[in-house]
Amino acid sequence: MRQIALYGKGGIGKSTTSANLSAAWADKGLDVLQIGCDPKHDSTRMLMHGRVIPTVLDLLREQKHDLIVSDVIYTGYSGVRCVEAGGPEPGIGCAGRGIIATFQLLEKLGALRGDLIVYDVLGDVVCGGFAMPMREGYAKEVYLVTSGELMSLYAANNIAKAISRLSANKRSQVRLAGVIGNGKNIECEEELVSEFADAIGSQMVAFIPRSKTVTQAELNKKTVIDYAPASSQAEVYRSCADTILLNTEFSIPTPLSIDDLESLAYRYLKE
Amino acid sequence: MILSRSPIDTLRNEGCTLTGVLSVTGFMEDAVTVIHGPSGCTHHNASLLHASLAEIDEVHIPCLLSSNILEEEVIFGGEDALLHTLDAAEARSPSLICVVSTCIADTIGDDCAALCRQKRSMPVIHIPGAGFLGGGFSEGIRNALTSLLTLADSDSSTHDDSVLIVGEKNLEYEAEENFSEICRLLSLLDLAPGIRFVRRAPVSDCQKIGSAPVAIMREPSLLPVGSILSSRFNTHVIPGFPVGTKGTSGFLQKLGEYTGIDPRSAIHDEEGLIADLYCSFDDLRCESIRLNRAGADPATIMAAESAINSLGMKIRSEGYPLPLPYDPPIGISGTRRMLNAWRRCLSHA
Repeated sequence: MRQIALYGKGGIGKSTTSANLSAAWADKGLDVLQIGCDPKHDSTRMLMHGRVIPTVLDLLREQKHDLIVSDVIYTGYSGVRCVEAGGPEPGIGCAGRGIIATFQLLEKLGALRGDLIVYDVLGDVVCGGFAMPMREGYAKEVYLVTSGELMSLYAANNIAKAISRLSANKRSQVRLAGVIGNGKNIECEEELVSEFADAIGSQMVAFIPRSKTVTQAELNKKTVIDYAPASSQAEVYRSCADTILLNTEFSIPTPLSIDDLESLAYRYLKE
Repeated sequence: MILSRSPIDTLRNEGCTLTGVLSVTGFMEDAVTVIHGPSGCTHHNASLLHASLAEIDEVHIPCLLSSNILEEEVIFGGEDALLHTLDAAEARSPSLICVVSTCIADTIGDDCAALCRQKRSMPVIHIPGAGFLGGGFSEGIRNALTSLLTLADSDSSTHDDSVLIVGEKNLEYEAEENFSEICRLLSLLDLAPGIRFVRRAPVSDCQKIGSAPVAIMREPSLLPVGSILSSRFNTHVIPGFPVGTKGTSGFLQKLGEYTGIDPRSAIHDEEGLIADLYCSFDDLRCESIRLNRAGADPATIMAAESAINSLGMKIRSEGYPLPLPYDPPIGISGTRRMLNAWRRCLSHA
């Protein structure tokens, strides 16, 4: 079983990327579990054809200790099993603790199984709770999803710092497995993301160009793989999924200083 | 972010901020204290209070209610739990509800102050009690007294002649003896103690706080509370109970200055009493001793050294080790207790 976590700045396209990768892997016959680790609980919505599934934390609140696997796991496109951690309303409570409680329940239910588990995690490692997917026993491979925008690279660099810090624990097996570029139509964006990946001691495993097909698919409440399987965008996701399956180059990242990061972004702006 | 750290050892760290708060609110006679946090914070402190009060033969245990935060409240917010507990507290019809926030409540960002502002049939005040914010027991006392001061009538311009006593250490063994010593010193100037803010006081006392012309702080760490009294009510503030026998003259001098009473006769009488005190411990004169200063309050050491000098005792490295009181000895009676303890030690030498 491989466990993969996707991290990146909020709104950068983690859920879209995660859902399309899960769909691509499921189409290959793999047993995939996608876990949305974001209080706004919309990671699996496209896989569920627009259905908002009950979150683990809401179920825990309502049913307390009597939950079974079928209460929290819902089957979506091509058999992808979907879970949403959920969390508190904005501005109250502790969402990070919610992630920890979700993982504890999934462990207890024996739900963390399959060929691939995909963790789609809130924008940044804002507290220890959101580092939970990277901790011992969970994802060993982390992929950073970023565009060429400075703030997106900044968030990715921060997550690299978290991986680096967690890797210092001898028992930790978490490693940075690569960077996924998610295009925002910025000039030389692919080269910039690729250079960033190299600079932090990793590699860009895929660059997903901006495409109207993604918007169209989402308006139809589907992944691109589901909505337009013959499209070039679907092929991009399938290729990325294959690359990740074959990827064996995992590293402990060397995050950039803020000055180096800004210099990198500035250089591409000038060129 | 608050970066001031509490001591990591237990020598002078007198406990959690929460315990400090409870050592005040627990002594409001007709108030209920709600602790917004896990039940353990309440039960642990109730146990501490029970043990401390039993030691001084006090049977009245303060009424504490817990909002009983569990993991669910940590994740989704604990404000509903606090509201339910406030309802339960209100049903008991106290004159005041004190809401003390704990580490968990402040970590998850519950807006306790806003909930306390909601209209109820009695006043509800919020007192920060989270220990992780860097304070300790004394911070808790300050926080509690500062919050309770918001109950004071702002138009309390009629001054009476009584003297306000602020921040007595309700859990200390000698609390009543120290208060008696203050009463004795006040009586030398024909003054009387007024409101004890807060020691077994009704909530209504808090409203009258501004009427006293002079306030005596239990110790200088309470000066921020004194500053509020000064700025709101023009109260004259004496920063602490007099430490040792050296402190009493200055204390009487300040009292005289603030009340317009000539203290010279009182100071003369006091000096006579101090001379009598040291005469009564003449058997300690020239004893060879040393002080166990580890973790001692500097004010305690100064008071002890003053007594040693007055008695002509000799501090030597091979001298008999003498203990120091945890809190500085207050006036003549505190010094007498310290000297009695030394006498008992030396009798075993």
